[in-house]
Amino acid sequence: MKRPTNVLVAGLAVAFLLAAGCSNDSDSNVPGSQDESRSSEPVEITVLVTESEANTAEFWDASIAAASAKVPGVTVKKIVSIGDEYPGQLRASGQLPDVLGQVNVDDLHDTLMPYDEAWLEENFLFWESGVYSDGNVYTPSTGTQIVPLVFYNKTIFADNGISVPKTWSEFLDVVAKLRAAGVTPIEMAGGEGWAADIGMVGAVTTDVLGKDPEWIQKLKAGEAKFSDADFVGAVQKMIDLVEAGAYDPAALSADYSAANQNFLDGKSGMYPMGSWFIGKGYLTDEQAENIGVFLWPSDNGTAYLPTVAGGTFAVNKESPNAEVAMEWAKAWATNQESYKPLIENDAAFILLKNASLADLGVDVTPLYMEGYELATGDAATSVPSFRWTGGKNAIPSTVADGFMGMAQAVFTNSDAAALCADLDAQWAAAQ
Amino acid sequence: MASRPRKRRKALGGLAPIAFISLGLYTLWVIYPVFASATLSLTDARTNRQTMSFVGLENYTRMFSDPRLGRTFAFTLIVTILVTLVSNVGGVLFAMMLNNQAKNYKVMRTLAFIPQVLSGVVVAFMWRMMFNQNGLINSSALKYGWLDAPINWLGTREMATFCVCVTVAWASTAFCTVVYMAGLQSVPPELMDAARVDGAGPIKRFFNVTWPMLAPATTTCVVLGLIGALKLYDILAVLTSGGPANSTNSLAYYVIAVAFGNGHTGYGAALGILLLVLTAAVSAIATRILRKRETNL
Amino acid sequence: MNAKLASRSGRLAGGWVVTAVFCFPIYLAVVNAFKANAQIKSDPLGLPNPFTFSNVITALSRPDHLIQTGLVNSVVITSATVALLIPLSSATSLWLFERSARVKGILTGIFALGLMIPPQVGLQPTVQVLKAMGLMNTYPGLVLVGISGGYFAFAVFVYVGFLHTVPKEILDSARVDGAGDLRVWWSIVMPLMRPATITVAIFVGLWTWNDFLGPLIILGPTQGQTITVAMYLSLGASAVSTDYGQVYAITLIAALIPLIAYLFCQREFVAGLTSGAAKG
Repeated sequence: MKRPTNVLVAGLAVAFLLAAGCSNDSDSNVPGSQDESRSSEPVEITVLVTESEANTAEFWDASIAAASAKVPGVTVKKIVSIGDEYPGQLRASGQLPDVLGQVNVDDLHDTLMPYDEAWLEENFLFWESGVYSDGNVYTPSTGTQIVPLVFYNKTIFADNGISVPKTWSEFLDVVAKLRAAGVTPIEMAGGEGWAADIGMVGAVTTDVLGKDPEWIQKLKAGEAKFSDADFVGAVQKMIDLVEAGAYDPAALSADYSAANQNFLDGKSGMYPMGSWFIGKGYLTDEQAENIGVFLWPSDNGTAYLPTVAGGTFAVNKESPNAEVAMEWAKAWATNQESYKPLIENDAAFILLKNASLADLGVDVTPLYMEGYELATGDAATSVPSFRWTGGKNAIPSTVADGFMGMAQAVFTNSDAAALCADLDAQWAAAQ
Repeated sequence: MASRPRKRRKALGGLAPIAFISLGLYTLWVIYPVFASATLSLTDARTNRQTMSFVGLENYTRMFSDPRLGRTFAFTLIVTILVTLVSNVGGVLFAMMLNNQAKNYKVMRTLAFIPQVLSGVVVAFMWRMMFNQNGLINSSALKYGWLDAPINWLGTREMATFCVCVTVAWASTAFCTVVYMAGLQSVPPELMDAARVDGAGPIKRFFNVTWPMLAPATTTCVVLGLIGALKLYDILAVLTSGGPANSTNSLAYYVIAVAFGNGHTGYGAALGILLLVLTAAVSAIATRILRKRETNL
Repeated sequence: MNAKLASRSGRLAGGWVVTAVFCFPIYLAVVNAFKANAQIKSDPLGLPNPFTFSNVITALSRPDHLIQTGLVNSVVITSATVALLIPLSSATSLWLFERSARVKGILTGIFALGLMIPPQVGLQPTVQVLKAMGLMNTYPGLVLVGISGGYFAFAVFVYVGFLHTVPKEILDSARVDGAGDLRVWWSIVMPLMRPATITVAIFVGLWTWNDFLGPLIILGPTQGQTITVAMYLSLGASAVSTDYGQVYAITLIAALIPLIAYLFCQREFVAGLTSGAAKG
């Protein structure tokens, strides 16, 4: 008869071996990297990226490989983000990657390693815009984005005799005309919080930060509140748009790619979206020809440019490989070839000292150039894009969440003052 | 040789070592975490703070001024109650319909039981593809002219709540059907015949014979349905991510969002304790009421 | 006679209609996985025409092999969890079964708690313990939490419940013959408890395969994921959400193994589910 203990022990051992030996066979990097973190040996670092239609898996793989080639002995394990809450979730479970793309500086600044200023000065224009409240730069300003721009369908505008609106009341007229013509006036990817709030970002940036660019600083110092008249007024404008029938009835069920498709198919007249939308990752050259762009209109027609400060990769200073990670992040940020697809597909407006668009040999649409001139020229006053910007005007992600939720809530709740009071309560809880 | 196993048994102590290892593991992974969470809930711990200090019941009093918690609580209760109700009524009816030994019904049973082997993520993706703005329901309805404008399935608080309920109820109806089906097979045919002889119609027969005999199955389905709905996480993560405007956060989803997403460790732990108390209370009350009903028969 | 026949076929037709409506989402997931995107848009409800494997091939040819790796990981983690849980929980149950009523009462109460505690409640301390033990982000860590948490409590309930139906004379006569506890358990009780073991294996297997939160947090992003989480990771990003064929193909792949297991062992599944549910 078999000895039951032997069978049991063998069974348990096999099961544990199975579990221990079960490895990720997609991982082509050096196995067992934990033992190899000594400085002369190869080091594996983890890099968190966000993939999109424009910044594809192939783009990240190629640009990561190019940067790794410049740092001897480093290999990279790419981690793809699943949403804004992911860095926080990874941090809370003690797995924050070594290098972090697209993070909320306000949430994570205490665990980030500052970039050195001499290096920033040497490589980037306007890098000071990325300085956080404590005087450090945690993400180099490799480029900027404008959030939002308002895109419009040229054919639909021409067919209905509509010209580009400059003031808020002209904008409301356009909405009414499009509605009367049976076209959805404004496209909205309302199913995703980050996209649902883009119009409201435009209103708050123009009406609140346009009037007082230091407003977020005052909010942080307790001298301003979301219940302030200007902020409530901006939210009220969103409620007015809903009541004017500016959106598709099912706008809040539309995800980002569906909304893009609707706008490009001519189902809607206007689309407030980030400047990346004019990249080739989203539009063909042909589609770009039929699209025009204007800035979110203010009450009196003053043009404000909602600018996003801050750049790509931050470095986790608590990582055992923080020094190598910083070296790698710098190598990525100064590798000019990586910017070409970023400019062409994601329409990044780069801010490099040592390379112009012509130097990089990029192939862009006239629409990109139109946007680029808006972003870098002085036709409009640059103000920080609310919620989107990094640097000292970044807000905590809990409040950002509340703001995104508010952009969806205006569809069913028309009490702007109450919504803003809720946001004040969330701000208080985040402190 | 015969005496050796006896000696070994004494030396090893038989099953006790295995039992003690198991109990040790159970304490480490179930009992300890609950107490540790309870302790954390009395602190102001956050992932972005190096230190934490004792704050008493502050995290619990903070719940009353949390603008999101009210809706979260209401949503959790609505889904829990509706899903339990719908899946039990649906499960009983479905089981009665499929309770037949003919071959056709066997195939139907095989099909009807499928949803309960699928993961929440799979179920939620299947339904999300139908509820999207350009999803299968809207696009077919518009194509065949059943609708003039697309329906905003996931876009308003009420519709999104409805969609979550439909999705969760779909999966749990399949589960209840399995359980009720087994319950029906334990109803003695003589009882039914006796009722028939007494001249009881089908409705009377159901309420006087079938339904009371299904009491143990009802206890199972209701209690598991309540606990399952209170734990609801994966379907929400896929279907609504708690939106729109945070109107479809379940308490379980909110706990993770606060503790892991926002890094508010202490407050997240307090919300976790609230969830535990709620689950304990609901399942204790439901079990007590339903078991009483079983023994009263 | 005719009326009876009519009512019987009426019931049959009614049954088929209700079943068809109930299973319609499954039908949609299956047919659309084999259609090109253009046909999903133009004809969402119809059969694939032409039939295509391109969605499945695209899903399997991702450069990160997320789907294949996920399947392998799920198989390994699920089998390891079930293989470890069954001996541990059945031995503990036999031990518990032979304790005094008082010990039994206390431990049963503690295990009942384990069945009810939502996994979210203790997740933060669990992560800290795993980190301290160096098991965070590892497969053994995930398996260890799996075999000793609520699943363990569930298994004990099933086994102890079953032991009540085992005639006491069988255990006693084995002891008289001089068999040690371990042998009584392994050679005599385990074969008797086969139905209970099937119940435990089915429940714990399904729960482990379908678990989302555990692997998402405990395995984390660096080690390769289970298929359930891999599906979420590959479809969560909106970049692919208009590629409906892709979503359906991955849905089908993720559901395939539990589905096949269910179709082949239907009788055991249904019996296991009902008897297990009564214990739970």
